[in-house]
Amino acid sequence: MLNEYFIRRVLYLVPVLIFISFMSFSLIYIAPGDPAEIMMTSPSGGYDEAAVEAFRIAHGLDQPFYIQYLNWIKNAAVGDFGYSYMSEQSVFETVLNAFENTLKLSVLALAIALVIAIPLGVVSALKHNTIVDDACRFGALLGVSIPNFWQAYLMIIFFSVIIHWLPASGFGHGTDISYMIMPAAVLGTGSAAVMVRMIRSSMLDVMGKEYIQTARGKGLSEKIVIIRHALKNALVPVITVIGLSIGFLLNGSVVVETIFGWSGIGNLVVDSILSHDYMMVQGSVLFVAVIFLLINFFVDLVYVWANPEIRYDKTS
Amino acid sequence: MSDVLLKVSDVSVTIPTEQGTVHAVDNATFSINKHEVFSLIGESGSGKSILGQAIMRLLPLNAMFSGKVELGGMEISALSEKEMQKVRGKIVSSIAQNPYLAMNPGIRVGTQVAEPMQAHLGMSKEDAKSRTCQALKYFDITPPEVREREYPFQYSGGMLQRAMVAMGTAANPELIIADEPTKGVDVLKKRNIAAIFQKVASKGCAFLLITHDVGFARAMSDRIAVNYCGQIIEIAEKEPFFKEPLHPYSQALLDAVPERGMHPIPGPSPSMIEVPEGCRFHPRCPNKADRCLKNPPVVEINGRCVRCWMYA
Amino acid sequence: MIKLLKNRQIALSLIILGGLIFMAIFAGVLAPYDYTEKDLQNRLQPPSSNHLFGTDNLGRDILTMVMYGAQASLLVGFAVVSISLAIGVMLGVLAGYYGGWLDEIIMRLTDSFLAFPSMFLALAITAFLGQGMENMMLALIAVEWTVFARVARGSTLDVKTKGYVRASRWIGASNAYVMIKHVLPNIISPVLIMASLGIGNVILAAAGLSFLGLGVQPSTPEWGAMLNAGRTYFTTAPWLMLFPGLFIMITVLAFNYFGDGLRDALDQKMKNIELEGRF
Repeated sequence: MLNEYFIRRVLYLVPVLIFISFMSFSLIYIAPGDPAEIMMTSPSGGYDEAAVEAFRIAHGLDQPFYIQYLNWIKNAAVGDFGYSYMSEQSVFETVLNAFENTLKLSVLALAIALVIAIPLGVVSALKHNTIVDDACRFGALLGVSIPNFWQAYLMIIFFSVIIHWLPASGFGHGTDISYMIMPAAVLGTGSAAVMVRMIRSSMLDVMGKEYIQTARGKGLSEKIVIIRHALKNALVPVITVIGLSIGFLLNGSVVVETIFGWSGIGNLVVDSILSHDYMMVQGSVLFVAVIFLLINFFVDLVYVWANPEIRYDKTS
Repeated sequence: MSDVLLKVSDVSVTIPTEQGTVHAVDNATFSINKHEVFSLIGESGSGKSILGQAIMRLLPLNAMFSGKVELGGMEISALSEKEMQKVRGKIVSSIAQNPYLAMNPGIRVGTQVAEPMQAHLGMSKEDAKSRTCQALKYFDITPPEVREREYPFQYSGGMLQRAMVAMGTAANPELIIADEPTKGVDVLKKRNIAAIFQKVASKGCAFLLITHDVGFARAMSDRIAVNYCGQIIEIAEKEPFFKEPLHPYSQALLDAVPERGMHPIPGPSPSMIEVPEGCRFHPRCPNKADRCLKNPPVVEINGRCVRCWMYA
Repeated sequence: MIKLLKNRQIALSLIILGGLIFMAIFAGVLAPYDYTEKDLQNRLQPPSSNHLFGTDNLGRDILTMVMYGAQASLLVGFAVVSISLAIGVMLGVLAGYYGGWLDEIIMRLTDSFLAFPSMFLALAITAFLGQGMENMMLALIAVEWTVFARVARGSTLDVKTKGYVRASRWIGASNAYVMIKHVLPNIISPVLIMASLGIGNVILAAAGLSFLGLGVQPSTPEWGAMLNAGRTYFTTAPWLMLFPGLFIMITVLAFNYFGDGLRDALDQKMKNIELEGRF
C-alpha cells in the first residue's frame, strides 16, 4: 500500500540524514589544524588568540567530539547553522536566499532540458539505428562531455561579445530573465544530454512491447500508437531522471553561477571557500545535501504515484 | 463451398538475422471461408505466428514479404499503411497469447477496449464507453462500470483474457487471428477460452487459430492446416484429418499427443535458416526415399491438400 | 577481445585515447617548447606557425602546456578511478555477497555519500583539506567510489542467484573462493564500463575544480587551471581558453564514447547501469 511504502521510505531517510549530518560536521575535523583556529582564521591568514579561545568555549569545542556533534545537530535541526565569520549574517538565511536563486535557475534549466530531450529521445528511438539516431546519440554524448565552464565562455563570446543579445553576467535583481537565459541554457543542455539517452532507451523498450503491436493491430494510426500507447509509458521512468538531473543541475550550478555571477548556492559555496568562511561552507553543504535528499524522496513518491501498477499494488 | 473470406496465395516471409536468413514462411497458400474456424497447427518456432503477422501486415520492419493476401475480395497486401489501418481491428483483428503483455499496463481496460470502436465505428467517447460496458458484460466481466475503469494488473488472468477478446471483437471484425491462445494455460482455463471463442464464432466471426495444441484445434476448428518448418504440408477438413492424417508429419504429430501414447517425433526440429533440401520433413520421416530430396508437389486428394511424394 | 576491436566505435575511441596517452607520456619529447619557458616579449600571441595554439599571458606556448596538461588530467582520471574502483568494488561485493546488516550499513553509507551532489561534496572536502592535486584527488575519490559500490553490489546480487554459484557453495567452496572465482569475473564488464565513463567524469570534475582555483596550483600545466588563467583574457585572447577546453572535451568524449561502445558491445543487462545517473 502506498502509506506503508511512504512510511518505509521515511524511515529509511533517517540513517542517511544522520550519516550526512555527521559527514558535514566531521568536515571541520579533516582539516589539518585546530577547528577553532580554522574557523577564526581571517582571509588574510592571521587569527586572534583570544577570539579563538572565545570561539572554542562558545562553540563547546573544548568538549568531547560526540557532545559537540549532538549540540551542532540540535542547532542545525532548528535551522541554526551558526553565523558567517565574514558577514556575521545567519548562515541559514544566507543559504536559503541563495538557494532560492539557484532554484529559479534550475527550474528554467530543467524546462529547457525537457524541451530538448523529449523530442530528441523519442525521435532517436523511433529512428532506431539510423543516421538520425546516431546523430542524437553522439550529440548526447557530446553534451555530457563538454566542460560546462568552457561551454559557458563559448556562449558568452557568441551571444554577448559578438551579437550582443544577452548580458554576459550578472544578476539583474533576480527577476530579469535575460540574465537567466545563458546560465540556464548551459545547465539545461548538459542535463538534456543525460535525459535524451534515458528517454531513448525507455522509448525503445516500450516500442518493443507486445501491447504496442496490439495497439497497431487495432488499426490505430502510428501517431496515436506512439503518443497514447508508447510515450506515456516511456515517460514514467523518466521521472526518476528528473531527480538525477537535479543533482546534475546543482553540480553544474557551482561553476555556472560563478561564471555568470548568479547569486545562487554554488556561487555562495565557492565564494565562501575562497574567503575561508568555513561555517558558511559547512552550512551550505549540509543544506544542499538535505534538499537533494528530499527532492529525490519526492521524485520517488511521484514515480510511484505515476505508476498505477505500484500505486495499487498490495504487496510492494 | 461457401464464399471465401481470406485468401492467402504464395506468401513467403524471410527475416534476415545475424545468424542468417530465417525462412519463416514459404509459399503459404490457403483460404478461410466466412464463419469458418480454421486452425494452423505445428510445433513452436515453425513460423506460424509470422504468417499471422504477415496477414495483419505487422511483420518486423526488416522482414521481406512476397505473395498476395486477399480479404473479402480486397487485396490487403497491396494496401498502403494508411488504408491498412482501416482494415486492422475493423475487418481482421488479432488476439494475442498473453493478455498481461498484450494489454497496455498504463491505460484503463475500458479505454483500450473502446479504442477500436472510436477508430472504426466513428463512435463518440460516451457511446463507445456504454458499448464497452455492454461488451464487458457480454464476456462476464462484472460489474462492467467498475471494471471498465480498472487497469490490466487489477484483473485476473482469465478475466483479462476475456477483456482482450472483447477488445479484439469491439469493432465486429469478420476474421480473428488468435495466436497461441492456449500456450501455458491449464486445462480449466483452456476450456474457458474455448467457450469464449465459441461464443464469438457463433456470432458468425471466422477464426484463424494459430496453435501448437492439437487437442484445442480439434475441439474448435472446421478445417486444419499443418505447418512444418515454414511450410503448410497438409490442409484438410477436421473429421477426415483426425481420422486419417495423410502427411507423415501429421501422423507423427497426432501420435505425439497424450491420448495417442505421446510418441515423440524422432530427430531434432530443423533449423529455419538452413532448411533441409527437398521435403523439409525427410530427415525425420519414417517413409523417406530418394525422391524426397526433391521438392514434393502439393497433391489434392478428395478436397484435401498434402505436400508429399507418397501421394504424387 | 578481437571482436570488440572490430566495433567501429570502440576502435575509434581507442585510437583517440591511445593518441592522447602517447601525447601525455612523451610530452617532454614532443612538445615544441619548455612549459616553464616564459617569453614576456611574445605574450598573448594568436596562433601562428611558431606557436600553433598561440601563447598565454606569460608568453608560454599553449600547445606545450596542453601536451603537459594531458599528463595531469589523465593521471588524475586513472588514479582516482582505480582507487575508487578498488574501494567501491570491494565494499559492493561484500555488501551484495553477505547481505544482512553489513549490506545495510554499506548501502546506507553509499546513499549518504550520494546524498551530496558530487560537486558540493568534492568542494567541501577540498575546502577543508586545502587545495592541491592530492587533496583534489582525495575529494574526487570520495564522490566516485559509490558508483562502483552500487554497480558491484547489483551485479553480485545477480550472480549470487545463479545456479553455478549456489552449486559451488554447496560443494563447500569458501566464501573468498566463490567471490574471487565466480563473482569478480562476472562483475568485470559492468565495472569496466563504469570505469571508462568514470574517468571521463573525473577529468571533467577535476578540470572544474582547477578552473575554480581549488584544484591544482594555477602555475602547473593542467587544462582546468589553464582555463582559469585564461578567463581574464577570454574576449581579447580566446585561444587561451579554446584549446585546453577542446582537449578536455575530446578526452572526456573519447572515454565516454569508449564506455558507451563497450556497453553496447557487451550488452548484457546493462540497463541497471543507466540508472546510475551516468551516461
